[in-house]
Amino acid sequence: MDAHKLGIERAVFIMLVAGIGFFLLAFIGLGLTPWFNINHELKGHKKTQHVPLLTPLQLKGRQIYIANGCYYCHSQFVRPVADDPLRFGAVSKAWEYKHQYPNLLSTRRKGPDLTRESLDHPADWEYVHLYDPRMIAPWSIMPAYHWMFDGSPGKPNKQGRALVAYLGTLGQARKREMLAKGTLKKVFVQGIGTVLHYPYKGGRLMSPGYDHVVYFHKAPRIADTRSARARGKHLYAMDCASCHGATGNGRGVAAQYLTPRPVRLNAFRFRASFVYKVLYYGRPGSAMPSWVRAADAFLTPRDLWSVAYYVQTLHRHATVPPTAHAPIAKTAALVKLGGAQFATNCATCHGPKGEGNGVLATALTPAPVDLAMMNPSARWVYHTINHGRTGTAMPSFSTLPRKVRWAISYFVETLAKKPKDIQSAAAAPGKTVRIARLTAAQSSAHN
Amino acid sequence: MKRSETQELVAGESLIEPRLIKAHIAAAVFWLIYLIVGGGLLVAIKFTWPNFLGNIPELTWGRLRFVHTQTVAYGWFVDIFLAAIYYMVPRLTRVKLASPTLAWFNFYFYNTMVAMGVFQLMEGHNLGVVWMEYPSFINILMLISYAALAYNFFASYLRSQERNLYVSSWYMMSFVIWATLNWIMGGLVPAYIAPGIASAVVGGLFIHDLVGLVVTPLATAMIYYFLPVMLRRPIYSHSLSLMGFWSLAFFYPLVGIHHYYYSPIPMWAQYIAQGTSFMLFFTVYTVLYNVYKTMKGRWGDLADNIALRWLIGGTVFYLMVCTQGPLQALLVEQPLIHFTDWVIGHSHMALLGFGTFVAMGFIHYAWPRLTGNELNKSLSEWSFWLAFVGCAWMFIDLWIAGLLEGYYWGYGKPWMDSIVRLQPYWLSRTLSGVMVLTGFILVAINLIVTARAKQPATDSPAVLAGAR
Repeated sequence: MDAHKLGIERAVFIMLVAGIGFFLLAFIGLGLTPWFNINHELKGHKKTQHVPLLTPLQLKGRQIYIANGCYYCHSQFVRPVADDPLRFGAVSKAWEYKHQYPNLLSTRRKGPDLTRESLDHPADWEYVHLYDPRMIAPWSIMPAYHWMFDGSPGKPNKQGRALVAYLGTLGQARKREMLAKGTLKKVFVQGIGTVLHYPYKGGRLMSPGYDHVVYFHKAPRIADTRSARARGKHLYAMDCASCHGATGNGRGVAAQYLTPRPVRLNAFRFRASFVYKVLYYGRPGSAMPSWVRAADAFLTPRDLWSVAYYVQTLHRHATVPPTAHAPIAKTAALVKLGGAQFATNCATCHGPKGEGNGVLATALTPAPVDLAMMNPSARWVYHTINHGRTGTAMPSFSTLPRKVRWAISYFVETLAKKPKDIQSAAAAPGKTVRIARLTAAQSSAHN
Repeated sequence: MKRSETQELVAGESLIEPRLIKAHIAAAVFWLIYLIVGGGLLVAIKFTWPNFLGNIPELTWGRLRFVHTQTVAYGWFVDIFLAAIYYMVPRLTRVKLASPTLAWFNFYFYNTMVAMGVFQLMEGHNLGVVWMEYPSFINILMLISYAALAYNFFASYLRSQERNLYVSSWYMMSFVIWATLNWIMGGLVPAYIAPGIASAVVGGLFIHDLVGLVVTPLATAMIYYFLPVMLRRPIYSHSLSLMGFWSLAFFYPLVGIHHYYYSPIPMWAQYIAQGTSFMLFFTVYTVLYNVYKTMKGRWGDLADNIALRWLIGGTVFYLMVCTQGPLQALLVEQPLIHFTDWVIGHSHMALLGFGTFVAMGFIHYAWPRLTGNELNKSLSEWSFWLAFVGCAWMFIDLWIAGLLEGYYWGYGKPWMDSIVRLQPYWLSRTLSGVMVLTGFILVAINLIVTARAKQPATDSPAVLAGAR
């Protein structure tokens, strides 16, 4: 047979050409060549200076990450396609992976991509989530890693600390590089804090091949309808209740392990637009992530408004703090005194009108709250003045006379901006009556 | 292969080491059931009940998943491939195994290594290279096994007087070389030599070489050997066999980068991987055309011949998985299905559908001839249909789940929405897995019952019928 004469059926030929030859051809052509291609591109690449060498603890954390198969479900590369850049941040570049042996790119996503994880969540959040993911996300299917803790999320052992230290490095190199290059900026947002302004340009994400971008900035506001609140209620139960509590009392299952504690939402009569803003940016310096950008969140503008409207309704669950049971009666003179005292004690941080823009505000993490937009009830202001807020720059002012404390509390109530939310929502045809009813129910609950 | 040669292959009972082959088959079936129970099933249950057995580090999802995948490749497949090699090679070369002692040593040594690998993975010692998770000391020790196999394997061919190499021999020869080279490449390069993205480049090659140059060649060798033997008729076309083999040898090593599409790997390499992946159509269709032409007029045999049915069932899955593969390796498909359960469905169809079914064909053909007793017919029927229906159910379930997952992500739904939506599919997948497992447990029972049946081996009607 001809084929035989050619040798293609001879053992030596098969072993040398098919066995060794083609294997080596592939290894050289599609193994070594891309490899040298990458090396060549990275040679003298200034960006690689931003890639940190891991500390021994972080390296141990990486080993634990590998040992427990984290890389099976959590990929570590952001593709320039689909929802990747919007969900997980800037598209991955080859230089970011310098010093990685082996790579942890992964071929699977059961949980979110972790390339930019450290920009989404602080360590205390990671600890709670690692201890039992269902304390944060009730539907999560991630395993609980109890053995990395000595009994509670507040007490990580060496394994837990190492793993979280490693997670804290993910995304840092790219962040530094982008800050140095100016494509990422630190911007102070009033009442929110210093946020990283992500690589959007004119509302458009700067990623090649990605055109169908959701315009979060310019997203139209949706009306405050019953269906919006129902959607908000669903999302609140899924995403918020684990920290802020089902009634918004700030006592979710995860709350006690977070510093600062999650905000007691029902103590405030929020402006919806402010809730939207917090959901959009998150609160730097706390465990509150951005619900637009955090890998596991990714709510749409519509969802953010829905949650905002639902959070407004939580005030009906408001309780009276134990320390504020016997208030001093509110008088015009007292409010005036409060104004003067607020200017003395509070304005340096919270700003003259309580908008979270005092002279010290930009230096503080977390930043002072915007009292005008959050509109807390006087009793809870009094409570906070007494106790301060652990994990923030807000100290206890219990040394001030009781009268002054009540005076400031009443004054803070007057800082509230007029709620236009109800008007704009009512402008939607056919919704007026329902909104009015809800508002009445709300106010009666408050009284 | 001429008709007369086919007869001789059936007859060559005196050349083989029946006990060695039986031992490897038994070990392989043990690993098969172990990897489903101790790996796949527990892992699948944890999708629905994440706290199930959750407080024991050794039994968490991440560690058991390694046990599942590693035992598939290196426990079940390599063991059954060794059995097949020991069954086929002496007949093809007409010489006995050079050193049965070495082969027996290798049996104990290799399976000890696999068991140790399971233990190490559960203890959290992991190399971190996808599909190469055994810690390095096991990887190095396993090279002894490859050397032992290579010695026995090539000694057979060197001492053989046979001038013509049969198709299966081409595949097996390449397998021995590819498996060794791939083992060295995967264990060494991504974890120690290639940094960062280059590590993913080589890791990608390794992942696909494991499927394409380890599982596929040996499964194809089995098809080319056992199909003519079962049908007592030569393969339809020798030229097609040649084309199938050489296109596999050329294209398969070049496709691995398709595991990391849209990663920072240079785009030109991804385009080449896309092209070569698409060329696999040619390879697979050539082989399968050859197979189905050989089957022409004999499809009725499937009704009685359980071994043939497993084998042909495997080729049907091969046809499907390799129609799916080149198409889903197109860059346009990737934004939607990459990272999703679709790929899990695909890889299960390759290894569980194609590889395992073909290997089951070998087991069901060889076992009666090795033990001299006929398999229990009712158990055979039940095991085949449970496994077949269970597999089909699992694959379809995972494809639907994968598409849903992809669309949920692509339409910008919150992450948790996709998890909640997929819960029923994961439960259904677990049930399909139980069905497949039941089928394979029945296979194991069938093998045990057959081996223990007290019938004189020499004048058993089954053997006489088989040798006719």
